[in-house]
Amino acid sequence: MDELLDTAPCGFIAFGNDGHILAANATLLGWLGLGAGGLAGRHVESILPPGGRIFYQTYFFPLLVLHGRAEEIYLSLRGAGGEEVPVLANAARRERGGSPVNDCVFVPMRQRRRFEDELLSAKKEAEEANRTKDALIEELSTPVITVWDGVLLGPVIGSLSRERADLMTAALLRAVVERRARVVILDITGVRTMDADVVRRLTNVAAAVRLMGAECVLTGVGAGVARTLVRAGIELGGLEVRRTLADGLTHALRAARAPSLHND
Amino acid sequence: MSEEILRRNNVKVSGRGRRPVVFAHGFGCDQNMWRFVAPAFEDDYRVVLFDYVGSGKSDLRAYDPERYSTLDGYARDVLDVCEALRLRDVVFVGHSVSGVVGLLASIKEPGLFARLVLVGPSPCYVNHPPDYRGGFERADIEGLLDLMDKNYIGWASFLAPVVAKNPERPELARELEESFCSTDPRVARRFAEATFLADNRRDLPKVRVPSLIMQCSEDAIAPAEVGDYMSRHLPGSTLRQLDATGHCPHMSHPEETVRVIKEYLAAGGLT
Repeated sequence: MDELLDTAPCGFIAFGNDGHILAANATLLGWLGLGAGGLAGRHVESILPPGGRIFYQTYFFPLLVLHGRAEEIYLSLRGAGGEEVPVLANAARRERGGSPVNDCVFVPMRQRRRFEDELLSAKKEAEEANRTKDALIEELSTPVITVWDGVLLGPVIGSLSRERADLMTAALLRAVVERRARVVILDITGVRTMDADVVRRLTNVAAAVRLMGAECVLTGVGAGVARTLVRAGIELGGLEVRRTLADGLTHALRAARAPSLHND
Repeated sequence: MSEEILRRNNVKVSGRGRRPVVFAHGFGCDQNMWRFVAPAFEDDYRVVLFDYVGSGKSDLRAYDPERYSTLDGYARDVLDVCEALRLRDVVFVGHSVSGVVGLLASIKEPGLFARLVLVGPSPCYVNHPPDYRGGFERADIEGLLDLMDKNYIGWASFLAPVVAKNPERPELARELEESFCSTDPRVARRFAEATFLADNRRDLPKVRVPSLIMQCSEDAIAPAEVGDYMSRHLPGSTLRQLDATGHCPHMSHPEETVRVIKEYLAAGGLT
């Protein structure tokens, strides 16, 4: 082996298609606690821990065969005494003497690995925190408030996506059953944008509520919403509509006090 | 629906024969792994290649973490592809974990398959002393999962947003297009767990379709005693010892791989 390569500050091996090591430099042998010729005829897998052998067979080797090279692969090498050397590997495949040979250099990365371990665990913590936050927002975005015995209020604030409409329907239906509601007020005063899709979602929510035997009142319908409805040619057939939440509450309380059709 | 499946699993059909041979890639890469083997079957068979959802150029949007957390989800992919192409009397060739995936698919729909060819299969990678040696301890598999976390190989979901944000740098898009064995690390990790922590030993006796077990030499992932175990417990199986070493004979020794598969199919009159 070239003397420069033998003592270069990186590990080097060349291995054949069957994984048998054809050459290894002194730097690598030193890291692994092996003497000269210590890797001759051995398999690449012999310097990898068991998990690394799977990785070699399922990623590293296929990349070399199919792509001709493998770059920036993180591996852990295992020395004669069982000690592990975390390395970054680059490998390239070329023909030598009529058969493919894979040349591979290793650069140790002890410090960087510690840093990456920290990054990874911070990333996992952030993902976990995000999941918690999403769950919380989901809960907050579909509140169902009991404003009077038998009267529920579902304020819709912000935008009403399909997912949110589904969540809202589920929350309202659950509340109608659990709290024996007779009237549900859907207040849309706080809805940011109103288009035909949003209106359809609202009427679907209302239809589901009615199927559960409760009346649905839509409140907070301002001039802008009315214009959208007219322009889109949408009718709110069968849906009680009140301009303000106060009007809706008055209506709902009257309806809730009326003799019940249910036998409760 | 069937068009959607063909797109979802990046299904590629070629060949001039009638009998279908479906090649299923193992954990790690994608259908590219069959590049040196599949063309040898095009004269006599209808060759079907595909990527499991989450691998290769499959549709990542169809990835369902729950479905793909067990090998049954992957077996469902095999059945979906066969159904979408209306295949019958299928010869299924599965590498590594796809061997077991094929067995599971055949248990669900035994009538669909004519033969199963298992390249380096293992019903269970983890040791269960004293009766069973899969070759790995659980801690070894943890070591693999750690490597999966730290290697973002052509990570499409990592690259894609970078590409979108940098339209003035077309080389990034090319990198994404040419990425080999690209895998989202979360997908790869779950596939690794589904594969290497699975124990399908109890499923072996349920298989009714004749099968070929191709056992490599010096295979650290599926050692010889695992091949022996499979041949003892898999009804109707034939064990063939290969000269090929390692775990990927279809890439390292394609000629022998092709020859052994063809001999097996010829012996069954399935040409």
